[in-house]
Amino acid sequence: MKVAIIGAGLGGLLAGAKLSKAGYEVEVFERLPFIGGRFANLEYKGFKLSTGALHMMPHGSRGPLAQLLREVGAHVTIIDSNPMAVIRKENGESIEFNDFRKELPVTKRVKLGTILAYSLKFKPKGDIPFRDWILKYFDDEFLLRLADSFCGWSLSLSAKDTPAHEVLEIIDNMYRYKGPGIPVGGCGAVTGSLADIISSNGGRIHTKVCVDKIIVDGDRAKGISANGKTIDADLVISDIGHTETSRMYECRDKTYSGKLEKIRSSGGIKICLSCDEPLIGHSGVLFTPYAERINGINEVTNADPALAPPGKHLVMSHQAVLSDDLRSEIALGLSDLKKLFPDKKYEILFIQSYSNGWPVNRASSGGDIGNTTPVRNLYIVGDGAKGKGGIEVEGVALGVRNVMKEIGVG
Amino acid sequence: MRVSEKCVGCCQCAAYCPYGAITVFGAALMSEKCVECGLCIAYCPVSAISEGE
Repeated sequence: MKVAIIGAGLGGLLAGAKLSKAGYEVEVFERLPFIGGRFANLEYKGFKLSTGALHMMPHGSRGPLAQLLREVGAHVTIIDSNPMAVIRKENGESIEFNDFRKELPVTKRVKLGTILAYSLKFKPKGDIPFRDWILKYFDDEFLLRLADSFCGWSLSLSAKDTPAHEVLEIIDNMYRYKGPGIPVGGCGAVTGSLADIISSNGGRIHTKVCVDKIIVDGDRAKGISANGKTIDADLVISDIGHTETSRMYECRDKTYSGKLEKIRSSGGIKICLSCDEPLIGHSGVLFTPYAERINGINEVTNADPALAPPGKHLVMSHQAVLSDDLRSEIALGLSDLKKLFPDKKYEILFIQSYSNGWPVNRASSGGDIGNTTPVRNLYIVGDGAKGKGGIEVEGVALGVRNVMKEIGVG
Repeated sequence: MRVSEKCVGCCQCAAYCPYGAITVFGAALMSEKCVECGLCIAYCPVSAISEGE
């Protein structure tokens, strides 16, 4: 069985590793000169920055991505963050994430416990936004700010744009898989290791090759056309999202096309800092609910010092984009950093923004439409087709798992 | 090099530019250090860079 994979991002490489291990003849086509997509390292001034995602796996060594990496035999060391996350309060003090309930008066604390237990069992129906869901039970500034900080950091969305059922699925997954971890060597170590597996199983990865067409006959894909050359395939997997993929063949399914129109991507801004003295001092997430724009920050060199030159730390902040004025959004993020670390010295390495054709998520969380298409042997993986409750790359792994189940690869 | 409005500001061009000629603040900006080598074109994920002033 021959499989053509469009895009060598995390989703494409995970699918390729899994299928090549199962005996499929795998060929991956990547239009850029490097592999890994938005989960690759970006070398700059001796730092290992990243093309997109932060060097962090939301559920660390116990999560869906780590599980999948182990299954395919990828040699990646994941250092679980300890503490998993810390919240910076309004007065500048920090508390551990798991202690956030202690910030609430006793009556609210008890109510939150009851409501959460009930809602995790019986998830809210429909698309009630997380913010409205909170407001139904609580009028509490701290909870609302924490919700925005959490959704912004994890999903690049504000709480008003995130469906409550999706956040509750995520909370379920946090109980199941626990908190984040940092892959030693960064994002690039993960995608590099997957590429090695594909090659060692006889698969091929082509860079600088642009797929321009998916060849469809009836309801089945027969192959693809790349750089003008036809390549036959029994199975086609696309890592470039539903919408972009649908433009590569004539899609006649009106219901599917209707769903495509509703897909919204999510945008974000990542500011990369270099410093001599640590700004955070631990390997977990620092949630910043009282900052104007920044949702959270991590300092990955506390887990893997080799991500920065000797003696330096690498810090990355993340914020969802809340308005159309990108430059003013960035300015607000920079001013947040000044306020958060008033006495610290740091240098700005890069300010990276993501939107439109190169977003944080091709389909914002809770708006995913699954992994199948009207073409029976054409599947979508990646951040445009994540699994339920899957934060970022964990969702990518869950999506790949869904596709493997459909194909019958265990 | 010319940068179109398609640029999202991801910095891939800036990281790969051998001349350190690109700064990014929401979008890429080419400085006078640019020698028009065109390397950045291939690294742009949204095809926002083309030859020309």
